[in-house]
Amino acid sequence: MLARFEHMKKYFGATRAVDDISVEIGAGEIRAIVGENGSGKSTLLSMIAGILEPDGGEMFLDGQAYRPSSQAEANRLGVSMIVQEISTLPGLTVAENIMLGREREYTVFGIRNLRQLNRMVKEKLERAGLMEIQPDRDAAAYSLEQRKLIELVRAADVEPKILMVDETTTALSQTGREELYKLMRNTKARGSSVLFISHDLKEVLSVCDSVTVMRDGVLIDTVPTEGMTEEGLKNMMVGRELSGHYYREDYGTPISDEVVLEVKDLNCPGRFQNVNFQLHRGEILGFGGLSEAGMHEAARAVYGMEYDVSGDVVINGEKMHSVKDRLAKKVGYISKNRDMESLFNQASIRDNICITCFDKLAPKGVVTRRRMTRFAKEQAGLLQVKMRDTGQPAGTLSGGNKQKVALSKWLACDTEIFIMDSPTRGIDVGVKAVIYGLMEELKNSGKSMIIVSEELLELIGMADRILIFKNGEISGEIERNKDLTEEHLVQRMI
Amino acid sequence: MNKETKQIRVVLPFAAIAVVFVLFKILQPERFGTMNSISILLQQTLMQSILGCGLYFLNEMGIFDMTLGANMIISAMAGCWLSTRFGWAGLILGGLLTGMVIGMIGSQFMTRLEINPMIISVGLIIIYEAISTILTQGAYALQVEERYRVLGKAPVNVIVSLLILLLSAVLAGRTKFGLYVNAIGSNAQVAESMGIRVQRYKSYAFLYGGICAGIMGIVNICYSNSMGAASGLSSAASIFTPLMACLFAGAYKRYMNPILALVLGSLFMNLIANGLLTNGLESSLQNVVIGIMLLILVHSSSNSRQYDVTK
Repeated sequence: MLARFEHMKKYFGATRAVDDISVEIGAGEIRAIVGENGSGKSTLLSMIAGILEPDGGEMFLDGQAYRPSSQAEANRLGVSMIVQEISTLPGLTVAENIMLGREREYTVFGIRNLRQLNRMVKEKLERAGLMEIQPDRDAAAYSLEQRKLIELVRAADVEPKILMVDETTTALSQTGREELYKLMRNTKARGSSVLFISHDLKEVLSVCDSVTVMRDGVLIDTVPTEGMTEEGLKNMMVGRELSGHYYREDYGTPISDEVVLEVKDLNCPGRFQNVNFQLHRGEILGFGGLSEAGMHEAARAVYGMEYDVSGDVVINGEKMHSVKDRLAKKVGYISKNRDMESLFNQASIRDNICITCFDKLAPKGVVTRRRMTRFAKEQAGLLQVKMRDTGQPAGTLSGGNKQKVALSKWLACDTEIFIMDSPTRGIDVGVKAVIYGLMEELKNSGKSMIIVSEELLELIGMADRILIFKNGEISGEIERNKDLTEEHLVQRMI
Repeated sequence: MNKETKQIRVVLPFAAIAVVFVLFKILQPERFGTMNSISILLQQTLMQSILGCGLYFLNEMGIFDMTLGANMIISAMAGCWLSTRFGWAGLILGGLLTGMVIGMIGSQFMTRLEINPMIISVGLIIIYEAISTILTQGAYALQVEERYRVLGKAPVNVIVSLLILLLSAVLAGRTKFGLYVNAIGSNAQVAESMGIRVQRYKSYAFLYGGICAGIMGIVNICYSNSMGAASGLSSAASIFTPLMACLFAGAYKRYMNPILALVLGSLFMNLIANGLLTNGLESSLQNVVIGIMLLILVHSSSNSRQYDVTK
């Protein structure tokens, strides 16, 4: 037995995030921890990682009492964690990020030897196969995925006894995922253990040895993955029988001829080129492709948030020049980077929801807090956001509930065209079902949607039409049909 | 960003200073850019940069501390008063220790109280300015003895300034302190989760700010012979140029050592102020022009954002 966590407790006010959970981890074991959003998985791992202080319980590592006071101390004791959010620091170089907290290794008489630092980190990056990442460049210059890979290098470098991975794969392409799996397998081969949070149950079953299921802060069971099915896990997670068919089931539904959004010759040097398409009323248009194929950037550009873009975006016959123009045409955008671009994490749920519809709430420029609270409560209630109250900071919500707030924000202001980048990224099956149901409802009420997704089943299940991006260009267009499989899409993507 | 773009950005502040210098020289060939005025300009720039160094680390961590100007005044007065009793030791140690104590008082207020730092700053300035009035004991200003004035004259003031600048440049670019200041400024929460003791490093920055204010106070009172009491938040105005230089340094730290950028920013503003003065522009209008020029320069450095990867 490598580690034991007994009667772990963590409360946030009246919310019992983790309620008397006891778990044991064997040496050389890859253990998945699954559960719906808000089930307490991340809280449990945060306590083990020294990020949160437990309100009760005891932890043992290698038979010794273990109670880290910070993440750095946990690292020193052999526990390292890759968190869901990006935790590289912009303004610091890649090398500084990787070696943060370990300055002694390249400091002489108080002076940091930057040449030595960069040389050391260059070797580490090369060993990880990340030759394109320069150690002396600002971490902010790299993409979300590359920054996640930088974190992987940092985590691997300390050769932890327990490596904890919190819902990281959703930020990674297949190549990035392979890097992560390699890191996990190496950790296991050394006799160390991995705690792995993922909502991708297929991935859990293929990568892990065992699964601990949590629900509403309590432990449901720990079972071996061998012989376990996705359906079985889903049922354990939500505590009821779930229909596997939460995608749309209609085929051949006619799409309106009315074009609500048209993109003409959209170009952005180095990211995408010659992007042309039309979006019709009541249509769900999917953007599919590899992570770096340009689809995320193209979606941002359609909303007017990408720099250095040429070409036209026309909505209802009018050419768009700014984000403000799009907002006037009731276009809403939900970024893949939820924490940085979709939500004000420090602000309350109330402020997050009301910000898009202040004019609606306060036609004369003045609104009472009571009215805002009532409105936010109504909107959050529609998507069943699990929260203490609307005054709770959005940043304290679980990933799925943050996404619900991000959606509520746009639903509240009667958005007509939704641009959703990775709408179910890092979200459990229960919330996914809610979001897919909502998409279908929106479609039926004549709203149009662009969905950017790296989950092919999601595109196949939800989109009326899929545009495949390859090397920054649209390489193909696929109509919705019953016979469409992941292989069809992959062939066009690669 | 490619290498050429970076090189252009490195050259830009030097080029801007050269252009402004040549422009004023053409406009006022007799009065502007004489050896004497250049010497004064450089001395002022370097001395102001001492205060800028103190402000820089606080600024980078997102702490807007306006008390440094008042700290400088009180440190100068304390040093001046103590010099009459303890000579050189009183002047130097008195000024320095006063700066450090005031810096640490600010640190305790700012890091422990859940109050907007701006409000704390204003409250402390009012208190410090009142103390400065008490210290002058009814006189307009405190005067330092003539024998101490060597500290404020070239080359001593220049050497002292250069030493502080060098120390700050090393601290900013080559030490754990500078790295952690950047990390805390980037995201204090993540920095804390990485084991960086955020409050401790904030306290260090306040202490360093106090040291710089103390040194600046000593050099300044020796340079100008006297230090007057401040009132009505007038001490906050004394940090205008160093603060602007700090903002410039923050924007330019991607391209060069921030302390070098700080000196260049300070030189640029003093150069314009000096040039406008020799051209007869009144001081309030000088500030308008300086502000506009600074905005242009900082904007040019942040323009590169659109060419960076923004995924």
